[in-house]
This record gives sequence, C-alpha cells and structure tokens, in this order.
Amino acid sequence: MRKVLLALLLTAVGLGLLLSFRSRSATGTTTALGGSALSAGASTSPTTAGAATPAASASASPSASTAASATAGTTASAAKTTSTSSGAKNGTFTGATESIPFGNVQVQAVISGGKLTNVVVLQVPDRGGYEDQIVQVAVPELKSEALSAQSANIDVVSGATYTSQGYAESLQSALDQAGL
Amino acid sequence: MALLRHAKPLMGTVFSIAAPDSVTPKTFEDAWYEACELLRRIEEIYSPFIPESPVSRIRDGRLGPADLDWQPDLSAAEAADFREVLGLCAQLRNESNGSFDAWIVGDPPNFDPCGAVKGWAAERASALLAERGVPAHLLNAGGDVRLRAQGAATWNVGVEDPHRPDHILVSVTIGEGAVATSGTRQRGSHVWDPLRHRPAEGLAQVTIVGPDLALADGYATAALAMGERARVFLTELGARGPYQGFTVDDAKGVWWTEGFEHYAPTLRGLLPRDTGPEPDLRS
Repeated sequence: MRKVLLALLLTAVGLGLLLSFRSRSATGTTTALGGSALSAGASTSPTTAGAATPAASASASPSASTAASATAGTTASAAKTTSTSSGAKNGTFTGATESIPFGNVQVQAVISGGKLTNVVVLQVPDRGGYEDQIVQVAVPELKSEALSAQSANIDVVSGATYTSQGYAESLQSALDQAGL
Repeated sequence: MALLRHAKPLMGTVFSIAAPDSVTPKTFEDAWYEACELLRRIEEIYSPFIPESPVSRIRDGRLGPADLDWQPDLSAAEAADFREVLGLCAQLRNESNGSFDAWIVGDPPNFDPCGAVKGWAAERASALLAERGVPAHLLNAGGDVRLRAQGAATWNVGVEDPHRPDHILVSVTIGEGAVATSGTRQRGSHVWDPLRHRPAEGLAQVTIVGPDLALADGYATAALAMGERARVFLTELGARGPYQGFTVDDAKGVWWTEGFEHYAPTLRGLLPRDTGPEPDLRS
C-alpha cells in the first residue's frame, strides 16, 4: 500500500504533462516579462484540518527567472501527527513553497488512516488566468487522480493530463513528511 | 517494499522516478542526479525554444544535417545521437505514412523533433539509471512511462480516462517496457493531422504499450492524428510486432488491439471486437 501511495501520488503529479516543450517556453517568456512573484510569506493559509500553519515555511526567494530550476524546496512542516501501524503518519502536512513562473505554490496533504484524504491549496499565484488554470483544472484533477489511484493498486498513471510542477513538488514534500 | 522517489521539472514537463528501496539511497540519489543532468543536456540540444540550440539552427537554415560533426557545441557522441534522433523521426514518418512528421510541425511548418525526443530522452535516462545501479525503476516523463523490473516483478500502470479525469480506465501490468499515452483533451486538439491539414479529430486518447518509449510515444501521437484511420494502423502495427494499442474515441468508445490484452488481463474476453458495438468500460 505504501508503494501504491507513493508512486501514485507523486506520479499523478509527474503524470501531468503540464506543458509540452512548447507551452512551457511560452510560460517562461511570460515570466521574464512580468512575473514578479507573490510574496510567499503572505500566505493566509486556509487550513481545513486544524493544522497550525507553519510559520516555518519561509519562502524561497521567488526569483522570476528560474522556471526550470524551481526546486525551491524551503522548509516544510507537519502538524498534529500520529503514527499508524503502516508507518505512515496521520495528520496534516504542509508542503514546501515551490516557485513557479507566476509565483509560489504551496499545498497541504491531509492523511487519515494512512491514506491521503485531501489536498488543500494554501498558495497559488493570482496573476490573471493562471490561478484559474491551477485551481480549477490542475488541482482537482491531480487530487482526484491521486485519490482514485491509491485505491486501485496502481503504481503510476499514463495519461495526457498536465499539471503544475510546483503543485507536484509541494505535494511531494508534504507526502515525504507523512512517510507515505 | 517502499519506493524511493524523486521528481524534477525538465523539458517542459515533470520527470519522476520511483524505485524499490533495495538500492541504497546514495546509489539512487547519484543515479538520479546523473539522469537529470543527461536530460538537461538533451533539452539544450533539442529545444526549438533556445535560439542557439542545434535544432533552432536547423530550423532557420544555419545548420544542415550533414554538418553535425563540425559544431563546436556538439561532441562527437552527441552528433551521433542527433543522427539517431533524425533516424527515429524518419522511421516514425515512414511507418505512420506521414501522420507523424517532425519536419512539418506547426504553422508555418518547420522541423521540430520534440514529439520524438521526450520518449527518446527518457529511454536514455532509464538506461543510464540501470547502468548506475538502479536496475528496477519506473521513469515517468509527464504521463509517458518507461519501466524496468527485476525477475518476475511487474508494475501496474493505470491508463487515465480522458473523459473522466479522476478515473483509471484500464490497468496495464508490465515488467519491462513502455506505456505512452497521447490525448487531445487537456490541450485541445493540439495534435495536427499533417495529411489533412487540420487538427486531429475522432480520437480522444491513444495508449501504446511496447518495449521502447520513443517509438511507443511516436506511434501514439501518429495514431491520434489519424483519427478514425488509426485502427488499421494499430492493427497492422500490433500484428507485426510488440507494440499494442488502446484507443478512446470522442464518443467514449474504447477499442484495442488483440495483443493489448496480454498487458491488460482485465480486458480479456470483453470483446467481440469489430463485430458489434464497442464495449464501454465505463458502464
């Protein structure tokens, strides 16, 4: 089960073809033109699971020009965790803030009974249509993908979806903390 | 058994890896680092969005394929690789009767090997990972997956439902090989049918299973561009070799080649294929 979770979640992530070769460059260009990133510290985190939001999630300085090297893993923190027999912890885990071309992305994973039960978006850029894209398309899709896959004994998903790399990486770091 | 894993944004998508934790974390980390460096270098060479890349120079006429050996930014090995990629593009164009044609991509049409390079690059990276001590792994190149296993171990690859993104349509069980999926849903009809000079239509998604990810990905893209003509192509492809196809059309019908059932046991016996209404796995 751990294998399934891990592989899946993260792959659901990787699964997403966010941008093809072509569209990603377009994104990068836009960044250079206008993307002063959101201040990551300004997250008003709508936590749903009672987790104290990590003051520790100091943002990586969101330099606007590092689309491809956006491994801006900053600190990530967990709150209110309990261990299950499977070794995965229950609780709410806040992922690292990841820089993407239009700003920062940060998500929170809610683990219950050793399974991912919810993904909460704490921060997304609010630049134009990008937020819509992330929130309305990528996030629900990844979330459901991750949730459905873990119940189906699937290691990875092959598909044509695309997603946000920042979302993927933030979710990954949250899951790493949970031991999933 | 737990999995070691990593993810990295590369080539405009996310590459991720998972490997059984029977290898040491150090071996895993080092191998992944090398694989990412390789992918980064391949992106530098083949991206049409980097103005001075060799591919960009071919696009604007500054570099001819015959001059690859004399470029200061290409090593001899990289020039040989480049010829291999050109050969791969030519093979895909021939086998698909022009439905996959890297020389007439976009408007105005120009050379763009990206459709073949991602899978080819993943093949290279996967081989490097095996060489560097990670023989069993799953390398996911943005939804196109290269898998390696040891012994009788297998991976389960879920094929997503293009009409219901939160559902897995069918599960493919495979030890060594590749699973590539091309679709039109998320990015609209971004696949161009070069023979009819219009966006591809008819099929929502094509999945190809086979040994090599570069070919599997190319066949999937070609079949998607063919639309309703894809069945003949995939049937012939499946009859002469190991590449097997599974399609979902715009009306939610599904179809697959006979050999595909080898990888997807849950499909066995669900036909008759071609002799009645197409089965709808969703019902």
